[in-house]
Amino acid sequence: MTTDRRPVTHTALAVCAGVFVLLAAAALAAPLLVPHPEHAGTATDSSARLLAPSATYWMGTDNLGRDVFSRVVYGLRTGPAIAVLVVSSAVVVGTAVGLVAGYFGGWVDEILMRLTDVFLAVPALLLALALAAVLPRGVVGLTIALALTWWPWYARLVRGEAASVAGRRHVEACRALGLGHCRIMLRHVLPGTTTPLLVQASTDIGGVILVASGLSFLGLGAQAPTADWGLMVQESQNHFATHWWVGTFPGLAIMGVAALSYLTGDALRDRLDPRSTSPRGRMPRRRPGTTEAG
Amino acid sequence: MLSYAARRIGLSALVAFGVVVLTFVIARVVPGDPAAGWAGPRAGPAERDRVRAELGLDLPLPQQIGGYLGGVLRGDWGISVRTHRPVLDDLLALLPNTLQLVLAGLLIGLLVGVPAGLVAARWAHRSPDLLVRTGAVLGGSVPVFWLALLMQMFFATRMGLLPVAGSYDPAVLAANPLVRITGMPLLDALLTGNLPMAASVFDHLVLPALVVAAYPVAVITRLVRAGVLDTLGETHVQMTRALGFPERTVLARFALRPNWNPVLQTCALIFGYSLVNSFLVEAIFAYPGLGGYAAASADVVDLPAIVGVTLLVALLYIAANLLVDLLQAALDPRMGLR
Amino acid sequence: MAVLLSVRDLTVSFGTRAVVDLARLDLAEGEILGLAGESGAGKSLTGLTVLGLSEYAGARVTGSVVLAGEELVGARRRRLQQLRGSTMALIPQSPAGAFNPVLTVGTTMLRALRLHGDSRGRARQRAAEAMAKVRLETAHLRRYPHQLSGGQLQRVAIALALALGARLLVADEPTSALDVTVQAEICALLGALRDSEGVAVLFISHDLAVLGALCDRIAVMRAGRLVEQGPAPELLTAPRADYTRELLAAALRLGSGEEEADGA
Repeated sequence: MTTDRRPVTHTALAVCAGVFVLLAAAALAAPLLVPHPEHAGTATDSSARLLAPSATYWMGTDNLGRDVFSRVVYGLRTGPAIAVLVVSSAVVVGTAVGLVAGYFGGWVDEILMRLTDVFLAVPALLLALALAAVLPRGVVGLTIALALTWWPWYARLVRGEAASVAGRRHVEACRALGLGHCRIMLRHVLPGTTTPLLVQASTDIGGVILVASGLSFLGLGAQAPTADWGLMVQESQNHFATHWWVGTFPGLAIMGVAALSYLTGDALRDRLDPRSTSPRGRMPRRRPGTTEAG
Repeated sequence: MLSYAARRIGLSALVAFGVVVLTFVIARVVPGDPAAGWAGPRAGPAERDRVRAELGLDLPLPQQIGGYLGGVLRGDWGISVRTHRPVLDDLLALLPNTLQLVLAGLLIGLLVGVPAGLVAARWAHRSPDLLVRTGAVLGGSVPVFWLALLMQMFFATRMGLLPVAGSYDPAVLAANPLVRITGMPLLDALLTGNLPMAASVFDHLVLPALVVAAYPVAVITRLVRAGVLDTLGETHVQMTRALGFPERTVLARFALRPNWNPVLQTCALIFGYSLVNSFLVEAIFAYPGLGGYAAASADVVDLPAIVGVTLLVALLYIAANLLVDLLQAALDPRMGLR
Repeated sequence: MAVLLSVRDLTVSFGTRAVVDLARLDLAEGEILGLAGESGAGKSLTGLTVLGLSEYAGARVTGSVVLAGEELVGARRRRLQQLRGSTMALIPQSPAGAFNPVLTVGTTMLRALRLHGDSRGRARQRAAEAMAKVRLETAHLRRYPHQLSGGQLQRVAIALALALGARLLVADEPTSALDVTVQAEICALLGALRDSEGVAVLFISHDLAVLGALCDRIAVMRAGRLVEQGPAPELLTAPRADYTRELLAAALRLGSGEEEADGA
């Protein structure tokens, strides 16, 4: 009941950060790491179709004779990279909107928050699906669709924090001193929002990867021959029962990275936010049409 | 209480209106030439011009929105480019199947998640808790489409325990025709006492429902664990123990109770998420529902259909949340004070 | 009078740190024993240990606690659960938090009675009788905790103990969360029940004035150990230990019963 979990979370956070750095390094150094960098592109090998995992092909080969291991490592450059890009752009947009809404309050707040309500009323995967369907096919369209889907969540988060900070004495004092709104927001309101933002963003990376791979699986994201995990699972669909390795490894990669982001979020929360003691993980957060006090 | 309900309903209506506008923007503003999308990929320039006039794309934007909203309210959600049928008819025909799948998933989520969360809270920070939490992390991280493929390969194709695809056996249906009441095959079969058909539908539902349930199980488990652990720290739990209740009862009948509201709320949230997750699952199990429809429509940029699915799911989601909030307000003894 | 509770060489420890170390403490049937001391003296933990509840907080217990001839330390969990409620009961420190917020107090009471073997009808009847004994109406059973005042909830807690037929009430600072007039009412009620029902009370409080007015005997604790114990009037008028004198002096300086610091 009174067990101290601090030391555990320190290690957990260190391990998560370590794995994250390793994965980032692997993504950058992919051409040096994998035996068949050319298989991430258009190259195929008709002499090595659907070979089972072996010493030569660690994860086997797919129906075009491409090395699954090479493609899984290269996959780090699509799914997770898209997720990082999506989350960072959504954080920027959401933070700007949330800061303005929380700082100024009143009708500005009202309009912006009703706007986020509308976005949040459509489940993320579906909104992204609809947007991806009307945007140009490919990684760029997918990234835009996902960023458009995710910003309201950060706007909500930052708005809540900003509203609580905006009323505090030191911010009132800055206003009395005649400091510019921009300056007050960036210097005095924004810093208070970084902790929850960081926690949320690290958890969301996994969520974005799951949705992005789902869309790629449906053919609405990355297009062949890109090495994308969701797309790889889709391409393996027809021979999944007979040649399990083609689709299993990319799926495991998605799950692993999503779980990593999940655990990182938990560990960060434990470390940075002493108020919340019970990790709740990747939860759906806001529901459509519910107002919050303040 | 009444004013709360009125405010809550008004707000939901406002959000629903916003969603209609949002889908309008997706359908008519985001694509470069929406007429091309609505007319379909194989339409010639003449046909596009006809569609443009038909949709009023030459009118000013507010007038267009008005016309669009009117259409939505009248039940005119456009004609699907792919099926050439009214979108709303298509959607309403498929919705019960999808709802059946999602509700089955949610039910499994509750039946597994609540006990698992209780077990984790009972033995917090010990091995059962660790096991449950690991499961919950994996359940929340697994890509559903991949899980669906794995389950299909393992339980259906390899072991032959359950059917690979579809939502019932056509031969069984031919011998035992189904009377449509709710539209959900399993419910209808049970209501009419059509047992062979119920069994067939059930067999086909098990695998997809288990896959859809992965996320609800994970979320509910974590929620129940965290909530019960918080509650265990409160004084009334000590009082319950002092009355001699065994620990199992303390957890399941006293500590769990204050957490029903958050669980219910979360169910409404997961409902939206699972509804869309089920789209991916349906695609794999060739289960006729909104998912296959959405995927096929997105593939050929069938704008009316895509927008229709988005609108329908968003409205359902808003309605589910409204329902849960009103239900809670009616059930929670403490609501009277607010 | 017959001894109901006897404590011998009781230690309660967290890890290697012993928080309670009691050599000897006895409580007769129908007696009110006051357990006095500052916050953190181990009074509440002693109470919880008697109820067999301190292990839930992760404490380790050695020594002996005998209730009505039965050893409680090391007793089977199942047996302890049977004794809790039916033979000994807790009167909580903060009545407002002591009832499940989403159940009516009657639900809690009926569930407890049913747990200890009453039929549905018998449970209803006993609950109603007990409510009358604490001078509350039966209708109060249908209320949720937030609809009752602190004093009313404390009466319900006492009624709960009576309905279950508890012989020993462990009252853990039962009045510290209540205001002065209600405090007096609850104390008077406990005194009256001792006389009419013959229940024994282990009354834990940091407030010597309250203890002096109510208790037959008082035991003073400091840093987990017993400083002295004796009949209430003698202990208060002629304390033998320096520490008791300090406590008395502090109580006098504070004045009688104004703005109590809440003890933990």
